[in-house]
Amino acid sequence: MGFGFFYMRWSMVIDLDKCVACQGCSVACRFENNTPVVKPDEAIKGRAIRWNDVFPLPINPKEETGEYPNVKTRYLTRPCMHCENPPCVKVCPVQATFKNEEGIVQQNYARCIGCRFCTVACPYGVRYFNWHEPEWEGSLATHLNPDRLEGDGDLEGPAIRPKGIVEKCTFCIHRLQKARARADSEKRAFRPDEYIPACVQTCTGKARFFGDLDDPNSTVSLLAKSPRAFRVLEDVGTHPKVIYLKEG
Amino acid sequence: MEQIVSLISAFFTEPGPGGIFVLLVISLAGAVYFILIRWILQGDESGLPIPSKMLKSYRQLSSRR
Amino acid sequence: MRARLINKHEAAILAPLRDFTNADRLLWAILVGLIAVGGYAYYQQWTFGLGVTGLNRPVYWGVYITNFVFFIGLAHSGTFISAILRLAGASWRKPLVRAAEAITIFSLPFGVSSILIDMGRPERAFNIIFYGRFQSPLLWDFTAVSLYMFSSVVFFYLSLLPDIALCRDRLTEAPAWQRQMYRLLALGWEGNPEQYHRLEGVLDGMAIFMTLLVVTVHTVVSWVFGMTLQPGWHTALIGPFFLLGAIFSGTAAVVIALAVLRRVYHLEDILPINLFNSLRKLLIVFTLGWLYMMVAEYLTIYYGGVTEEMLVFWQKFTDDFAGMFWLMVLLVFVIPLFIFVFLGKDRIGWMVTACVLVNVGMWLERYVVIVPTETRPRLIYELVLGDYSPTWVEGAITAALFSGMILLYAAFTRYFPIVPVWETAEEAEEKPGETVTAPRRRWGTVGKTAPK
Repeated sequence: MGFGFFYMRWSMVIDLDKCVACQGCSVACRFENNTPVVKPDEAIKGRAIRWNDVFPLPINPKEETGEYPNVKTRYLTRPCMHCENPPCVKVCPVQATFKNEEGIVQQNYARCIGCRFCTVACPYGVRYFNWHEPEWEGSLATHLNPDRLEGDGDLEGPAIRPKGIVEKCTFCIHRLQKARARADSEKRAFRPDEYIPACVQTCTGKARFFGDLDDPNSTVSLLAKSPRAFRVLEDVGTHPKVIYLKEG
Repeated sequence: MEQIVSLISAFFTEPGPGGIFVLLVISLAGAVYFILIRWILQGDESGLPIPSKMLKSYRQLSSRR
Repeated sequence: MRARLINKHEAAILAPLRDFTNADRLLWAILVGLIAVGGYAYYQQWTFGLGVTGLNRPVYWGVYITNFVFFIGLAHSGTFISAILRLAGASWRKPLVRAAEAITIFSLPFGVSSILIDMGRPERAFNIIFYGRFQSPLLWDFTAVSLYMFSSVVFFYLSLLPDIALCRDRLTEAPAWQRQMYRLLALGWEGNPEQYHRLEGVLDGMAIFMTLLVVTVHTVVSWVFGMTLQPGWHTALIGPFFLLGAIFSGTAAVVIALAVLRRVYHLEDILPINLFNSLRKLLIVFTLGWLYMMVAEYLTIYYGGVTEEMLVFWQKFTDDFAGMFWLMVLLVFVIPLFIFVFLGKDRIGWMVTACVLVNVGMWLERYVVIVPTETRPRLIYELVLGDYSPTWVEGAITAALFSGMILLYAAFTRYFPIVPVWETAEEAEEKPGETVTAPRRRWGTVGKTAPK
């Protein structure tokens, strides 16, 4: 497995005070993971695929957001929560989605039968379905990410997937695999800070942090103890591993 | 005790056992129905549990002693 | 002297098997045409993906899953009539059992097909066997529905067996392939008392098993929704709610089938009006039961006022799905109850009208359970998108599924007696000199002279 290998518990912290909702994370994610693009008419139907989504989150459902310049709104940038108790994993009939030992909820395109049970079970709506065969035009097609996580009945991450299957954020698990492989080849221990998802790397406001929640001294562990820390839909019992720091 | 719990947990969560269970249930049903249908059709005029044809040959065999 | 069974209606029951009219040809042509259109629609979907439907994010399940639940619900008709009423000792059910069970075995395959049609990668369906995870409600579904389908076919076949033998013996003018079919399917059935005794015993035993299956199957189907966390779905009442709905729509479907058969095949003597009156009483109970479930569910939600549940509540009562919701209430409850109570007695026409409304309404009910919840997921930003307009593909495939069911049913009635001859026969003494059947044949009065 590797030099002094041990499992980590990968988690992300997002500081909403620093997030400017530039959507750089969403763009970086889609290029890193070869997310299929859809035409405008499909996007209107709600079929755009955004593993990381940035969207307005009204303070409460019926509240007015106000008139310019006194607008009151806030944005949430949302990857997959990689829950400790994932409702999507429970309902998958074929284990196309599963939680690995490091807490990452993976998605295997090769085994998915496209029943979409996981998509309706996820309370956060982080899962997306390929309604058509994925295609890219022009320069998009020539600039696909060549990184792959595949083999042995497995097709994950940036791998080109067929139509009719479900996909979602993987915390850029292919980067983890690459980082571990590099450490192995250099015959040294793998350090958690060698692995960083594309959205965390890109963030304009330096609002995203990533690391091992099992390490009490990691950035994410320290930030998770902040009084500003909260998790989305905490009461639902999913124990999400994406921790937000609220504004203020 | 823990082993039993982890075995049961594995049956539910691991891929594979679920499919085998389905096949087992259907096969068991199939076997039961096959035996029942055969038993129904073996019913005889005499109303005995064993069809009289079998009874006759048994009598023939035993009478040859 | 030996007692034997005579059915004085035998000729009338076998009459449809001796005929095949132009009306049949027209009906079959229309149904095959609709199936062909549906086939083409599915071909589009197979080629281009599920994008040809109106499904989207967050409405990932729509018409196809509605069809699935509806057809499985319809299947409960037969089992209810033949198994549950059998156990209750309701002997008036005897002429109905085969017509009802035929609905079961001809609707289940289309329920199962609806799932395959909905899958993104149907060619990977066997992954459920190779990699099945029993923690998933879909595995419970798969087990229960497969077992139910298999058992229903066996139950149906066993109930049919003596009548296949009858067809083998009586329908000597049928084409050779048809006679051969009866001979093969009859499995050498002789019709002696012991065989009948054993058959009845097995049917009694299977009736108990089938009753347990009915409860299990539709509860498990509802748990595909109930075991998620979504508001509107995650309720303990969903099992009983779906179960009652299934028995309700199934019984209504039986009324429709019986009325059509009675008219088309002139079975007025064999399917007398008091049968419909008995079904009417059951339907009144089911309609009121359905009301009870609805009140229990929605009053509880409203009184509690939990935010995410209220969003779905208002979607149904006043917002996007209000039209469909209140139409459903009208079609499933208000109009049918009125008809059943005030107009239905001794009037088959009104009964059929009410039952057609019930079934249309129950299809809407399934839709209204499934889709509104999806349009109001917890993370409220998705309010912007939650919308669903089914396309022609979904419509054509739905029409094809219904056509398939009707076609199988109609074809069945032309090759096998739709009213059980052996179950509705009566015992009579065999008198010497009376024209009776030859030893192997024990039906009716046609045949050779009895030995003295």
